[in-house]
Parts: sequence; C-alpha cells; structure tokens
Amino acid sequence: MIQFHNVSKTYGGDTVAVHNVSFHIKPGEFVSIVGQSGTGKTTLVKLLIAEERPDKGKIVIGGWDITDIRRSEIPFLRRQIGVVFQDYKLLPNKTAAENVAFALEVCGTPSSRIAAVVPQVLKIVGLQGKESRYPRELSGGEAQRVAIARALVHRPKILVADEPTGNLDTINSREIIDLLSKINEFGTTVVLVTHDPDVVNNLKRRVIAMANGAITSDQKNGRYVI
Amino acid sequence: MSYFWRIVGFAVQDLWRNIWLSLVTISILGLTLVSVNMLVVFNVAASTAVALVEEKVDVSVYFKPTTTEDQVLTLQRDLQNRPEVESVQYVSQSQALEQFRTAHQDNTAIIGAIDELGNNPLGATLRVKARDLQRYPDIIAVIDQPQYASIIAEKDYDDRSGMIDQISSWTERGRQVAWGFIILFGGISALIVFNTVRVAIYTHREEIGIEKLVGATNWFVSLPFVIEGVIYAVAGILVTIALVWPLLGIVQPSLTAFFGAGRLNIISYFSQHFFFIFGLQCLGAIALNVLASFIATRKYLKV
Repeated sequence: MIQFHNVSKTYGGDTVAVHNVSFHIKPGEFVSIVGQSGTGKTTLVKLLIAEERPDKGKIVIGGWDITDIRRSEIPFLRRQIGVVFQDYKLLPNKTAAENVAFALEVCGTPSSRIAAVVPQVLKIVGLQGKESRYPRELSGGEAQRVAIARALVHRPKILVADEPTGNLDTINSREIIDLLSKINEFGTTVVLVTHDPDVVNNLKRRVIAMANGAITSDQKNGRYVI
Repeated sequence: MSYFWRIVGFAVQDLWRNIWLSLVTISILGLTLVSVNMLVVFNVAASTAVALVEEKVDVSVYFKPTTTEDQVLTLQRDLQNRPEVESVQYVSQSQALEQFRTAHQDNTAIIGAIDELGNNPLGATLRVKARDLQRYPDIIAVIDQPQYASIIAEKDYDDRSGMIDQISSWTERGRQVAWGFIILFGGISALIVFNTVRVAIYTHREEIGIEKLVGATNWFVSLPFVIEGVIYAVAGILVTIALVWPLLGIVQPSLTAFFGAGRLNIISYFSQHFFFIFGLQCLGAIALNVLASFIATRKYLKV
C-alpha cells in the first residue's frame, strides 16, 4: 500500500529531515511511526501527502509512483489519503457537520450526497447529536473526532494521523486511538505518527522508530523503543 | 452546475469578508470607467463639431452679369454629374439682387446706388457643396476649366480646412490626455484588484490550506478569486452607470449652448448605444480583472 525506497529529504541544503528511509506498509496494516521531536516523522507525513517532494528515492502509494507527482494530480492523491493533525485544522466558523461537508463540497460532490453521507460519518465517529456545534463548543477529543470524520468522508484507503493525541488528555487519547483501531478493522490502512509511548505500547501493533531522520527499528507488535 | 454556484458562493463569501477593500476596488474601477465614458462624450462632441464646420464649407461661383442663364445651368449640370459633388444651389440674377437688397436694407447709400444704376449689376451664383472636404480641389478644377473662364467673375472657396485641422488637433490632444487617464486608472485598478485578491488569499490561508488538504482541485481553490474579479467588474460598471447618467445631465446644457438646440443630445446618444458602450466596457473590465486575479492566484496561491 505504501512503499518508501531509500527516500531522503533535505531542507535548505544542509538540514537533513529524512535520510535513506525505506519501508513497506501492507494494505490494512496499523503502523505507528515513533520518535522524538525533530526526527523527521512529520516530514514523512508531508512526503506521503505530496506536500513535499523527496530529493532522492521513490515513494509509491497503492501502486502509484508519487515521487514526481504533478501538481494537478495532488488533489486526487489527497482524496485517497485521509489526514488528521494534532491541531485538528477545523474551520472555526463552520459547525461540525459543515466542516465534514466542506471536504466533499470542495471536491464537487452533489449536495444530496453530502446531506446523506455527513450524518453517517459523524455517527461512525460518535458525534451524533453534536452536528450543529462549532469547534469552540466541542472538547479536544470531539474536535479530533470531527477531523477524523472529515478525513474519512472520502472513504480513503489510507488514514494518516500526525500526533492526533498531542493535545488530548489520557481518556480522550485512548478514545481516539480506539476509534483509529476501529477504522483499521474496517480495512483502512492507518499510519499513526506519535511520540507518546503509552499509546504505542497499548496498541501492540507494528512500530517503526526514527532518530535523526533515519529508521532505527521496525518491529511487528512492537513497543516504543528509541 | 451546483458545483459552479458553490464556487460563486465562495467568491461572494470572500468578497463580503473583505467588504471595505472590495468597496475601494469597485470605486477605483468605477472611476476608471467614468473616465472612459468622458472620453466617449469628448469624442462625440468633437465629431459633432467637425461635422458642423464641414457643413459650412462650400464654393461660391459668381458669374458675370452678362452670363446667360443657359451658360450657368450648363456648369450646374456639369457639376451635378460629378460624384464628388453633393449639391449645387443656383441663385439667379434677380434672386441675387433680392438677397443683396435684403442684406443691405438699412444702408440707404448702397440701396440708392443700386437704384441709380437702373439695371441689375449682379450676376447669378452657384453654391457647390462637396461630399467631403478632400474633394474641393477636384470641384475647383472643374470650375477652372477654360470653357468657363469667360463667364465666371470670381469664385470664393470658403476654406475652413485650417479650422477643421485645428479642431482635429485639439481633439487628438484631448483624446491622448483621456487615454493617459484611462491607462493610469486602468493600471491602478488592475493593481488594486491584484492586491485585493492577494489580501483575500492571505485572509483565507487557513481555509485554503484545508481545501488543499482534503483534495480540492487547484481550479476550485483559485476560481473563487477569479470570479471575485468578475464581480468587481460588474459592480464597477453598475457604479459607473449610476455616476455617468447624472454627469451627462450636467454636461448636456453646455453642449446645447455650444452646438445649438437639437444638434447633440448626449443622453439620447448614450441611451441608443447603451449596450455597446457599457457592454464593451464591462467586457474590458472583466478581462482586466480576470487577468489581475489570475496572476495574483498564480503568484500567491502556489497552485
């Protein structure tokens, strides 16, 4: 599903963000990418969604070589990869339902389909009854659920969560990870980027550890070890 | 279709969120278009002035008193058959005398001298008008033919080409100044539209980032800003119409005083050519704004 072949990315000519990284994530896998801040985890996410291009190496997503993807093709890649961030990236002047609908609106989905799909997705993430609330009226966990709902609305094959529990307390963090696990059980490949050892250790799934832009370990049913 | 209206909705939303900047943009655009319309008024007035002077140009051929009517009518026929001649007016000897008496009715000395002579000392006259100013030399060449030399006392070519040249020169200079204003205001308008779109992009950077994140195409992201440019153009033309009409009402009395009543009705002119004048300006403004918006989105949106 996701293949990185000797991928390197440098910023400003001398700041190495990712160095010679290779891994293969199979369809339906739940993989955690761990490491301390500044180890290149977020650069990996940016490379995955074509926000950045690698200086060297090759990236293949679902059989599609996106190494030199054209700008006009990026939107179609992003409809296949749902992304969730630590800061939720919700529009403050839109309700929960409108934030989710927005992802469909900008892609030209007919209004009738939007009206049918949005309540379903909000129900999946457990936000039934809170559709009309604005982000400021939601807890951190609920806001992150809205972000997950928005990421899921295109029915992506891959869900990338970049530090999704970074702003949440323990209970909310556990609920979000449980939700990601549930989504993974439905067949979606989940890539979780985190530096939270508890989250990773409780999952008991594949763990790729990074340090200084390189992979230091790749363990099936792994634990947070640096 | 709903996708298009969704994009239009985004454009209106952008415009509304920066309402003051939008109003400034529309005002500058309106100012540019008002200056374009003043150029139209200037052009129409100049053309009317030239036509008015041209109408007054003619060649008068004065015949000797001894010339017979047949000889005069022969030259009249000769001239009337020429394509460059628009009209030939024949004034007989008796009509010439009548006109002379009317013109000098208050001058007893002149009238007395005419009466003293006993017979009519004036010859017949032909007043010749050309189809256009450039054809007068051809007409004069006909009159100067040797067979007519013995019957013509004198000819008077009312040469107003100097005046027409001067009017044309003023018109041209006025037109250049007006074009200067149009280019200046047009440039300012384009820059202001460019800046407005740039500010709109900055204001919406968070939303644009999310649009891109969830898979909006580059067209979807940039099109609202281009449509915003079109809305500015249409709003600008509406403002212009609202300003130009009262201005025409202010200018009209001066035009009537200058050209005479019924000669030039600028309000009727604008009414008759409404769609041509404002339609063309609307298309021009749309083209200018779309270009400015397009460049701004390409430069700042990184699509």
